[in-house]
Amino acid sequence: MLRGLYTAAAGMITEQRRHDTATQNIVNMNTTGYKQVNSVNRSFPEMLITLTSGDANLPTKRLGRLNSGVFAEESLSMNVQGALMETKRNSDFAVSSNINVDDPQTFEPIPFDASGKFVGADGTVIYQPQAYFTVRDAGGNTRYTRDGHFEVNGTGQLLTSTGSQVMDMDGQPIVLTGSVEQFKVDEAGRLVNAVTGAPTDVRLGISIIDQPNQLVRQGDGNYSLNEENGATARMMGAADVVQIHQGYLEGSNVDASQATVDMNAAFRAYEANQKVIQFYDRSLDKAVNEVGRV
Amino acid sequence: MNNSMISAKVSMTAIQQRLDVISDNIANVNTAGYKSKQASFEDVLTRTQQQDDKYKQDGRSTPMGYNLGFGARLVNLTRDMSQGSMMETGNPTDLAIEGNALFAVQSNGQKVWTRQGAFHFVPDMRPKANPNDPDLMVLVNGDGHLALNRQGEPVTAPKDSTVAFDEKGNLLVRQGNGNAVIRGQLQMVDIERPEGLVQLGENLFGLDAGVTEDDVFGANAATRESQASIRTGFLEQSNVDMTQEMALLMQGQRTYQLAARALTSSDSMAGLANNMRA
Repeated sequence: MLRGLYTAAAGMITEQRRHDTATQNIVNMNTTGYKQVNSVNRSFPEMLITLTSGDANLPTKRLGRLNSGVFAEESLSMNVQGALMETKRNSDFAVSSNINVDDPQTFEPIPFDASGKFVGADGTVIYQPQAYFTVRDAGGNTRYTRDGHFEVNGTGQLLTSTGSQVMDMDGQPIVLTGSVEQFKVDEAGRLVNAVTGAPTDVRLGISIIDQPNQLVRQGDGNYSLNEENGATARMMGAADVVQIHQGYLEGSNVDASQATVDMNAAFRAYEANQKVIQFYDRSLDKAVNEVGRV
Repeated sequence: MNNSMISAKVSMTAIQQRLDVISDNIANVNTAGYKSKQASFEDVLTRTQQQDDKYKQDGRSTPMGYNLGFGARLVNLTRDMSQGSMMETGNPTDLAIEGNALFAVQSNGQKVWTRQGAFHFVPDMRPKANPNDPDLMVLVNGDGHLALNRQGEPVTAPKDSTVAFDEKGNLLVRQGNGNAVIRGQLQMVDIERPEGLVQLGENLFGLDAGVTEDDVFGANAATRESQASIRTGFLEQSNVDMTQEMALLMQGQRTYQLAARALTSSDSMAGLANNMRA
């Protein structure tokens, strides 16, 4: 059959995925701590095309390589800082970080670009580690989140908006003793004694994920870490440039115009693939109803 | 297939709810003691499309699987308990709280709390224990709810007496040419955990299910002296910030438009697929 028919069909499916992803970005424009997702497309593996003729004496002729389609390979989160919005609520937090990593060869700090990525001379890509709040979900699993819209329940537990417990540096849930009014946290994430103003030993558990792309969305604002590829989480150290902003929330980092353009581009590419299918259909029509007519 | 359609629809519902919250705030911009509310969103993901190992190609930077989101939803409403501005009324029974506290009042026999301090005295119509007791008047707020004192009883004063409140909510009563005497104290309680409160109608707050008074206000809040103080002759206005609400309204409207646009776009895509064989 006509090879391109399937290629165009694969194209339509892929553009549908891209459209879904762009829609997801658009509708999460106001979601606290949401990170824009980009759909990465990849062509099907190449295959070799050979011309075969009916005559066994003639050599077969290689025509070249062909990709027979495209698929949506991965949904890549853009782990850059969203805008900070002031809410003045004591239980709202935003985390901002700029974590330095030294190049293993040169021992120089890696100059990450604005999207938190560095492409080395040999093409290796290094992603900048990012800071996350450490939380424990209802199933007791450790999760990470950028959504610092916390609340204090009746028993003083600090919870995320979806009910996960916020953890401290020692991996214990944070429980407040005083009122929310007296809940103060300094820039390093230490809870401050309301009376004396001195930092206490309790500290918000900020995890540093060295490969943020290995985080998997859980669909409730939380991420889990996939450790199969060697990604690790560690608690924030003294050398890390991480700031905690109390009374602020981190907005979504979705770029509205970019998302709209992505959506329109996906739509038109879908349409173009549909047209290609129609052209193939017309060719088949000719082959079947005109060439084959007796 | 119609993933975008679902996420656009789910999110339009959520944005609509947020617009409802904003219009509630704007409608109450002149309600004494009203506390503004804020809605927050969360992304919804219900499906990770599984990819087997054949999908693993060089240069991939995420774990296997393709995330499919299904829009955003409204997760919770938080109330901004910050101080509203003060408006002078000159009425000695108009009380405004300065600080983070609530008045305890009685509504339909239930103990509830409010910031609305437009109190006034009305004749006590309750049956007397003893027919010879002097006629009393009771303190009610603007919506007719009985104000409670530290003992949990309605605040009363003898009829035809002169009344005043001090900054701690003590009721000072003077009869004829006598000296003013303290007759109980308004039950004003500090809020420790505002999340334990739910909004009821008529500017009242009640306790959330499973939450006790001690959880929200601390132990023995009813009898403990509050850290807040009272300004007599003033009413606390709503703390709704019109500028912020209008900005949020515009933001919500634009996001709604974009989500509707995404819905139209995925509808056209479905049309394209249907008309492939024209």
